Amino acid sequence: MSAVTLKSREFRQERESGWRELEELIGVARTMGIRALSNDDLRRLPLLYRAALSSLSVARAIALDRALVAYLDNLALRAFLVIYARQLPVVDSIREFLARSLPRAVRGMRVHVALALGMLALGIVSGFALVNHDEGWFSVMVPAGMAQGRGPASTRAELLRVLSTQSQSGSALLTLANYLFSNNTLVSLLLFGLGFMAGIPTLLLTLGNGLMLGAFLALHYHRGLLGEFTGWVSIHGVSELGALTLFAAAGLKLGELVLFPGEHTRTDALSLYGPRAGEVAVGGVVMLLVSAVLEGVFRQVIASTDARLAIGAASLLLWTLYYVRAGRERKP
Amino acid sequence: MTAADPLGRVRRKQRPLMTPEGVPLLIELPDPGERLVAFVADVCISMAAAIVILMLGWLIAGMFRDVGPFAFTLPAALLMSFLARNAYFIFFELRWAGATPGKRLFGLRVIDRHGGPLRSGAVIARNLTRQAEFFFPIELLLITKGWLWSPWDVLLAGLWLAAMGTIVLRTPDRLRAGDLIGGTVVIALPKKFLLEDLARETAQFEFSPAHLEAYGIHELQVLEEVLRQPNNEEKARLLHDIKARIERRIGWDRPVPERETETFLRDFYTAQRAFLERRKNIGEERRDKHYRDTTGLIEH
Repeated sequence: MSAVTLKSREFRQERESGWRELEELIGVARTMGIRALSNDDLRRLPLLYRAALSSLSVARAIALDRALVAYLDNLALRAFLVIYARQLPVVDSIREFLARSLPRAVRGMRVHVALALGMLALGIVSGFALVNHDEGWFSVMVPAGMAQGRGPASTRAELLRVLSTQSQSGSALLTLANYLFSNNTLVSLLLFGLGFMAGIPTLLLTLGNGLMLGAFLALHYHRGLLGEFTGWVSIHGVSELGALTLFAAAGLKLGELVLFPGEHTRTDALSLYGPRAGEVAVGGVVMLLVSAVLEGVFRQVIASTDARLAIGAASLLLWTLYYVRAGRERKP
Repeated sequence: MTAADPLGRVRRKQRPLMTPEGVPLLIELPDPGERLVAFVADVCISMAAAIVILMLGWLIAGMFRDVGPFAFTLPAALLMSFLARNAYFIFFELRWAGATPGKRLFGLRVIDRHGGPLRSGAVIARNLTRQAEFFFPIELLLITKGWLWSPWDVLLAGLWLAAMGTIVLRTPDRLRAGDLIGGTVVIALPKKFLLEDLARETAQFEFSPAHLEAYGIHELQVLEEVLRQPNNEEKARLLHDIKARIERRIGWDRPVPERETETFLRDFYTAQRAFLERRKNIGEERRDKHYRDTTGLIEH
């Protein structure tokens, strides 16, 4: 029998108690939240974490015990996550997102937003001009599912009936629930998702949506219903078009990152700037939800064109103010 | 890189993550299968919650059928269950720092790809993208009139799902489109325990340096792996085999009784590790048994 000296074993015996202590603190922080730790523990945590990192470096250099190195790697990573990847309070995160991150992200992409708005406006103007000239264009630009029977053959009375139909009050929320799955969700997902393809499908889809709206405007204009239709569509349409604009802007940003990743690789460029585009798209979702409430509830309840127009105008003003003003740094 | 285990089991993909302290940590990337299982678990849990809400709404709506405001209950419950399904992931990934119940069950976590804090915007973005990536084509498949009548819907959904799957398989860190946009990565983080040190304090069998030059680090760690296996017949057979091969290779001439096989191997492991660690310390890393000292500078 003879004794064996092993540096790595001595090293482990010296440091093990620190690792165990760190493990215990991590366990408490993970299961009961970091607030469950006492002040003393909170002071110890970063010290123990750094000690574990140094143990890991030493172990990698001197120890050939694989289980030991794997354990330290795992311990250091879990401690790292407790310290750096904090748990976020849900309500605060959402408030922070709405009050600051979102409007800032939108302002940061104002070129893309402007481009999307421009494309939409171009669509509306051309759609209006074409149908105004010849109503035959209507069916080219508006798919049958969207038109729901409305078209060049519709009379004034028929169109008016659509505009003033009140659904049963009980099913208002049902309409809302349906709406969430409907056409807009598809369009917005495509606007954003297909941004990867250099932004071209996004631009075309935005144009297409503008054309559709323009065509409807011209159809109602010919029958003297421009005011009524504008009221009917603007009560929720302002928020909806705003949402589509944000999705399109986010999609265009993705397209830009894919086309011009700059000095990064494409994956890196996406991971660096993609989250910003993602935030803008989330803003689009928020606007879609608002527009769903406006369409599902308020449009059913409010029948007067003037009131509808007022709500449309107010929402336009509020959204613009929000994206331009909210979350700016206060000047000292 | 894929770290293959000495015994041939394939381990998870690994890659380094740099800490602000400057020590790279190895993170493990889960198999797509592991992620899928965790995801299915999450979907089941959130659907169950949504159904419970719906049932409650139904009950209440039934009880108050004739009372005005409660006419809204059923649609409201529909809406609530829709929200439960969608807010579930966002809520838990924020609250539990990147883990949902399903992920927690299977030891997965969402982290920032560059080691920074997980931002709320990133969590929201990666989860809303999932709606587009996955739920949407599935819903399209569900509401489509049938495979025969609307092949285009089926084809579209299939292509979309295939494209999304390709992104996961083709990106180096197995990223979903949502991870790409959110700047996140999903890692496997099973809790590892500190196992006992296999090195013995005292040695019954003694080995000379000449004995220990026969093997390198790789063989040492294979031996470690085998010694750490739970005791059973298979292990006894393996140990017996290994002992015989070691005896042959290092030229061990005193016979070792069968019942001392494990002691012999533990002693050999201890001596071998001490030898290799000393060598490593002076800058001579003997990777495996094929190592040859080519410098001729180090005297043994």
